Order: sequence, then structure tokens, then C-alpha cells
Amino acid sequence: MNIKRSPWLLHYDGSSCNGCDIEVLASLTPVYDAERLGVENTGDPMQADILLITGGINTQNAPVVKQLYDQMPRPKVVVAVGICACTGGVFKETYNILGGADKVIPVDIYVPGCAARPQSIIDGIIQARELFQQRSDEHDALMRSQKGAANV
Amino acid sequence: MCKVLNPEPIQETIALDKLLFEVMKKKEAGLRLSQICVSYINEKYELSYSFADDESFQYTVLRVVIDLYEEVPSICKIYPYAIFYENEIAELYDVNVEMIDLDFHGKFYRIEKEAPMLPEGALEKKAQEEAEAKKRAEAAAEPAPEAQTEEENKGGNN
Amino acid sequence: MGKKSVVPFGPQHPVLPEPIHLDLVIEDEIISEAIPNIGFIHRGLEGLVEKKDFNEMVYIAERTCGICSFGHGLGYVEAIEHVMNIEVPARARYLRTIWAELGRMHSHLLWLGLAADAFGFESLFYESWRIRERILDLHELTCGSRLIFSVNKVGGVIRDIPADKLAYIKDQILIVEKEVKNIEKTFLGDYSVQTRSKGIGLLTKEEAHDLGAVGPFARASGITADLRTTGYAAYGELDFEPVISNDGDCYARLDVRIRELYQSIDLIRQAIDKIPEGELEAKAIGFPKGEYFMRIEQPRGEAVYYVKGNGTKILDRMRIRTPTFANIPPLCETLKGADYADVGPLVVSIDPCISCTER
Repeated sequence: MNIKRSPWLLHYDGSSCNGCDIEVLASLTPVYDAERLGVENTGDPMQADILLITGGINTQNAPVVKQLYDQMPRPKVVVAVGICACTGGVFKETYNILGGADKVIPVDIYVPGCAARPQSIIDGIIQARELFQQRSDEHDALMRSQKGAANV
Repeated sequence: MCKVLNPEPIQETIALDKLLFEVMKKKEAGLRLSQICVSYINEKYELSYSFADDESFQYTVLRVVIDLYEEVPSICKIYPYAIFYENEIAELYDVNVEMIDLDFHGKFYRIEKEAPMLPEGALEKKAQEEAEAKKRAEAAAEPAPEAQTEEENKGGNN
Repeated sequence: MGKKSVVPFGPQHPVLPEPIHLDLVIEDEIISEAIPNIGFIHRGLEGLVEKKDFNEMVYIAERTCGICSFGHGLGYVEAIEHVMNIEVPARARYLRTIWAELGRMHSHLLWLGLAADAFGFESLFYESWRIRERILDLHELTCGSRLIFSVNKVGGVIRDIPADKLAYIKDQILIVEKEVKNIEKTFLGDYSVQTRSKGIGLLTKEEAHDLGAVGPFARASGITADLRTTGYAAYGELDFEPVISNDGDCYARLDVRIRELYQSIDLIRQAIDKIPEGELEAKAIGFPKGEYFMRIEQPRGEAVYYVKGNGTKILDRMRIRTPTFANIPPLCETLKGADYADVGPLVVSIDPCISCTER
């Protein structure tokens, strides 16, 4: 099933300064236009395939990020946008930041930058699309093999 | 060329018991509360209450220097939106602010670490100073019953 | 008399770019109370003042917020310069003014797009952000980066804008002006935008003063206070009047911000015509000792920067009080009695920047 032609995005801001969020939204606007790849920015986690996380994780939003990740149906891909989501960035040594997004959820693709440029974000989305197709194929193969085993 | 209004900021240092009266005077003059800030300098808290005049752009700062264990009255009955600033200083620096209308009890930002902006060992020092101050207050209140029993003894002897 | 129910709004919501949580107490679709619950973006960057010296704190102050980033760097640096008694050369002051006004334009265009998205007008959102890309290209041409560019330092600026680039900036903002005139017709004249914004979220002048509102939010209710009148950077030598409106509803806030866009274009033209030749920085000798409260006019209102130094390279205290922190109490007041469907546009109309508020 060729579903990589329309992955839907969910964008959530952890503890970010807003720079990377604005660049994520700018990638979807007419000049940089990630929508030609078939992505649509949805606000509903239960309809999303790719999660774009920006900003570090602090103690207050760790359960929120975990819940959003759990609400997304499989197969799913997580992209950490910006250096604060990769490692914690400049704020690594503060008293409230735990670190990057991989402290709470498994991250597949890391996009560095402060603020991450739209060209890098679109590159990250393209790589996420490939990974999403690969995971969807694996999921389909698993379903078929389970059905095959049940039929026997 | 537009008219430039840039008066020098005024800073007044006042005692803690004059705080409510001075804040009331600022409200009477029609000033807007701009911000409330606290610093931890030389093992004391330095509170700064800033007021701004939107017509003449005059900025006034009231400075109050207090010991760690002293209680500060809330000014939210005079300026209702001061509750956010006071909850913030109570949470970040553990200042004892009393009688806030909407008190979050240290859960305004919901930070895990207690009083994160204070340096190491400051919270224990504060608890120590608070215990000593309480002992001093109790000792000052005691002599009256002892004097009374002495007089009874004298009256009994005679 | 209906039953009261509590509806949670946020932290993840399609209309909110940032996490904020409001508990809305509603009764028959009318809101009676709004209790804010924040803390999702609190990074505690004021605590970093113990670990970085006063020159490096510029980078931390700039990353308080990505949208108003130049303003934060400017306010912090001006506060330190007041404490150390440094006189910034004239060319550096004019360059700072040009960058600050470009920052104001990109912030207002960003807000116009988000407000259109909150009404549900997605194509207007894309059009506003398309116009905004021209301003970001100007940022990249002069500083090398689109949003967070560190050109401020204690004593001046680190890069110059040569004369040919200044002429190019003048041409580009002429094109931006024509394009803004185009979308202004839709924002202020379209019937569906007017129905969703006229009469919504009314805040009178007395209420705005009693609750401490600042910035375009207060100027839309009739309070004439624009901190650029105090003449920091090069504003004392430029000609402008504060933009005010007397209506106090969402439509007035749209109107004020669009007119401020035209005012910024005019200020940039004046600054480019009057900019003198000269040095870019003054030498900063020694360490800051003393304290100062500096106020500047960010795109969202009055921001207060407090620094206290003790003669060493590590500061005692740095505090930033951002305009959205002062605008949250009036927001909770305008939400009372509002329709449940108007919560999104109302919250967006104060131009919330939650990452600034919580630092």
C-alpha cells in the first residue's frame, strides 16, 4: 500500500522558544511549501502519522508528550526539530529541563539548527516519509503473517 | 522630531510596615503596577515593586529589604493582578507572601525543585532563622507570668 | 439557569501554537470564568545567570522567544550599557532601530496570519505569511539568519549594513507595503471577518487601566502609551505618533496592528534616510556594578529588563518581565461572558507569546 504520498503531521511544542515552531509553520506556507509532498498539518493526534516535536522536555510537559505519542496510531514516525529537541540545546543546564525529546519518547530523525531552517525541516519530512512507508510495509507483512498463521 | 519624554527613574527604599501605605498612595495617583521582582543578595531578600505612569513615562521603584523569614503582605487587594507576580516570587524564591487572593501554594509553574532560584543551603538557613526568630518571640512574651507569681509570694510572706 | 461544566482548553489545540492550559467554566455555552494553568514552557533561564558571564547572557536573553528575539537582546544590552555608562555610537543606534522595526513588522504579519487562522480563513493565513517571507529574506541578507540573529553586543552591534543593501531594503519594503494594502481590504472589509470580530471581547479604557494592560492591546482600548516615546535607540530623532483606537474589541486590535505596520514602514524609511556614518561599537571596559530597570516597546507591549551587577563578570540578577505576563489578567476578564466559540479568536487577539511569559 503506497501511503507515503499523504502523511499527516502533528506539530507539538514542548518547552521551545517558538523559533522552530514558526519555522515548521513557515515550511507549510506557499514559499517553502511542504504541502506539495502531500502533508497536511492536522490538530488531531489520532489522525496523525508523523509527530514533529520542538523544544526541550521539562517536568510539566513530559506526561503530555507521552500521552500524545500514545494516542497516535501505529505506524508512526517521530522527528525532533531544532537543537533543543535533540539534546536540550542552550538550556541543558537549567533546573527545569530534563533534556531532549528522546528522554520521553523514541525519536527517529534529528533535525539540528537554532532556529532550524525550512530547508532542513523539509529534508527531515522527506526522510520521515520514507521511514513511514518502510514501517507501514513491515506492519502489513506482520498482519498478513498473523492472518496466515490463524488460517492454518 | 517627536517629543521625547524620558524622566529619570525614581527609587525609594522603605520599611516593610510602610509597604501597604506607599502602594495605596501609588494607586491613588493613578499609576499602573508594572512588575514585582525579588533578588537574593547577602542573605536577605530585596523586593522591588515598580510603578509606571503612562502619561509622563515616569518609572518609580519601591525597594524593601527583608530577612529571609519575614512575612510580606500581599498587595492584591489594591492591585488585583499582583497575584501572578506574588505567586511567582513565592514559588521561585520561597518568599512568605501572605493573604494572596488566588494562592497556587507553590504550584504556579509546577516546578519539581523547591525554591530553585535560591543557592545551595539557603533553604536550610531560612528554616534555621525562622526557628530562632520564633524562640526569640516566645522568650519576649514570657516574663509577665513570672513577675506575677513573685508578687503573690511577697504578699504571702507578709 | 444551566449546569456548570469545566472544559479544558489546551495544552495541545489546533489554534494554539504554544501550550497553555485554561480551565473554562461554562454555563449554557457562555463562559463565566477562566482559570489559567501555566508552566509548560518554564525553562528557568534566569537561573543561568550564575553560570554564564554577562556577555554570554545576550545569547540566553535572545532565546527567550523566537518571535521577539531581537527586542530581548536589545533590552538586555541597553540595560547593561546604562549600568556601565557606555555611550553607543549613532550609527549603531540607527542600525538597531532598523532591525527592531523589521522585527516588529515580521511579528505583526505573523500575528495577522494566526488571527486569520483562528477565524478559519486559512488562505488569508497563507497570504500573510507569504508576505512575511520577504522580511525574513531581509533579515538573512543583513544578519545571516532568519529568526534568531545575534547582532547585539554590549557597546554596539557587530555587523554593518552597507549603503547598497540599505537601498535594497527600501525597495523591498515598498513591495511589502503594496501587498499589505491588498490584504488590508480583506481583513477590515470582509463581511465574515467583521462578524467574527466586531463587538467581541470588549475591554473599556478604565478596565484596561485597572487591570494593567500594555501594548497594542491597551492602545486598542484608548490608552495612549507607546514606550518608543522615551527615545531609546534612535527613536528620539524620528517622527511618529502612537497608533490608537477607541473601540476596544477584536476588530480594533486588528486595525491597530495593521496601522502599526504602515508606521513601521515609515520609520524604516526615515531611519535609512537619516543614518549617519561612524563607528559600530564603543569599547566596554570593566564589569557592571549597579542596577537598572530598562523598558522597551516590544511588538506586544512594554517589556522590563532588570539587571544587577556586583563588579564581577557574573551578574547577581537578571529579570525579564514580558508584555504577555501583564496581558493575561485582562484576557481572563474579557473571557467572562464570551461565547464558547469565540475563545480561540479572543485568546489569539491579545497576541500571546507564552514562551516569553514563562521564560
